[in-house]
Amino acid sequence: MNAMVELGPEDSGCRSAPPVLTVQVEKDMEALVQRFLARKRGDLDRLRGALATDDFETMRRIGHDLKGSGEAFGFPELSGFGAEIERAATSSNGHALREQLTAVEQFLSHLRVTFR
Amino acid sequence: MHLSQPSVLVAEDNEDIRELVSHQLRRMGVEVMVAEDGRRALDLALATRPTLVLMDMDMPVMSGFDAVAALRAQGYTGQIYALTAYQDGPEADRALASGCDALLGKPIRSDRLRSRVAQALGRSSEVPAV
Repeated sequence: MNAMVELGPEDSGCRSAPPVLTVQVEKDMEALVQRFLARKRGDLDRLRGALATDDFETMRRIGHDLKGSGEAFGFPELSGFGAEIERAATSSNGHALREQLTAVEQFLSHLRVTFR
Repeated sequence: MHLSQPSVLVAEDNEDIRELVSHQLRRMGVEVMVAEDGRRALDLALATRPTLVLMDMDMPVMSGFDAVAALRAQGYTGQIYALTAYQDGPEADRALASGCDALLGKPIRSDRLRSRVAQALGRSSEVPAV
């Protein structure tokens, strides 16, 4: 998949605004990518639930799947988060899992995808 | 049921990857079937005899390794490509030993996927992967 990534201020008039990650993907992929991102936002809820119950196997599986799919959809950062989640879940490291959950939340909240 | 036109079975438990691969193959005009675990893949492949099977090796219910071995044991002679992050080492060797013809690396790259599938189906119109 061809993707173009730009990192810049969300609002050039506001210096404190968080950066926005803009990813441009092919128009043909729009529905697919939208479904993918919706599922990833759903995974955040599943991760929160699994963290609350120390369900490390569920977290490991979510991380594994994210590692395998993020880059394929044009989001290598998500694959990186997925690898970290899988690793942290395998070692039952709740602290690292919370950090990664926050990182994924921030990434998705700052992500802007355009289609060409 | 035997399909008369080239067809590909995508066996992959990751819904995202299953959708992505299926989408790319349909863009090529290929008939696509999907399975979300090794057992389902085995049953579907034996019933439909696809031209090519793309098999994730790490799946629930029945692993890709076991599904491929069972397919070969039951006379499936079509091509099987292992979908795996391991391009060499024990996991790659095990995939080939179980009966896979080749490895298709993860993460999936759409251009490489289409090129390899086109090769497997005997097509030459797809642009080769760089």
